[in-house]
Amino acid sequence: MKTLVIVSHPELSNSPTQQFLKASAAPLTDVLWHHLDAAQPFAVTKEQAQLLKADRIVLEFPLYWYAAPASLHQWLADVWTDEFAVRPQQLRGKSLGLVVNFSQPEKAYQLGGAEGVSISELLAPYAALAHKTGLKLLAPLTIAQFSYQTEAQRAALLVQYQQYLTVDQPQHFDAQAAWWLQQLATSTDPALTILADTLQQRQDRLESLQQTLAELKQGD
Amino acid sequence: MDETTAWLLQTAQAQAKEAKSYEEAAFFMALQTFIQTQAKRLEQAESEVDGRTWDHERW
Repeated sequence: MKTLVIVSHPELSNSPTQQFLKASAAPLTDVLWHHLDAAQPFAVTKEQAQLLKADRIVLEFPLYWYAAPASLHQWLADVWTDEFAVRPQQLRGKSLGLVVNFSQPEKAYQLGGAEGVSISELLAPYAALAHKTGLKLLAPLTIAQFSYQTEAQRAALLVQYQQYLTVDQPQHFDAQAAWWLQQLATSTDPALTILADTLQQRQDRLESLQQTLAELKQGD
Repeated sequence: MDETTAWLLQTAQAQAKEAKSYEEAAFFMALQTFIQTQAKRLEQAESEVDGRTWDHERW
């Protein structure tokens, strides 16, 4: 799967979150990390060609006043023309991911929370965009208060981000399990081979139990 | 915690400590969370199958 990450950030080098994400994506083959602010004014034909080559398009940005920075809006206006993305829907069937970071805690973004609005509400225009252009929208990957995250939280984020860019259904546990097993399969360390075999057996057992449960529930 | 889960966690922990790069260490740190989640799902699925199998009202 080829993934195009569209990064909108006016000061990329001053953003620890974006630098962390960039380094996390660096070892991934078939992932192109594209910084919009450095590409202005946009070469529309080239931008459109990059989009056509991708299987997954990921829009990545911080929330500024509850919205994406200006470069993303400009890019959408210039590149996602009607003739390109709507009539005809040349991007139809690809998946659209959203990686969004903000400086408030996650719980601030909910009805009755400190911000009084949910992330889903704020990102609704991208759901409309996906609907209009025939893209399959993924649940957003949200990153709250990166600067306060512990080492363990950052480790989890690194893996979650890599899965978000490369796994067909990154939210599904079965797909995550397959990703872990695939990564471990590349190791030649005997301890890791036993670990991978054990995890595989457990995953097989889990899937078999889930099958049994589905059959039992069918009989209810 | 069962013996296998404990062994899996210890192995991942040891790999994280011996890692040669940040990315490798992060991988093995996050792997521990996956091991715990998988073990929990397995336990829950086993309990649910047991519960449904031994529910006399369904016999």
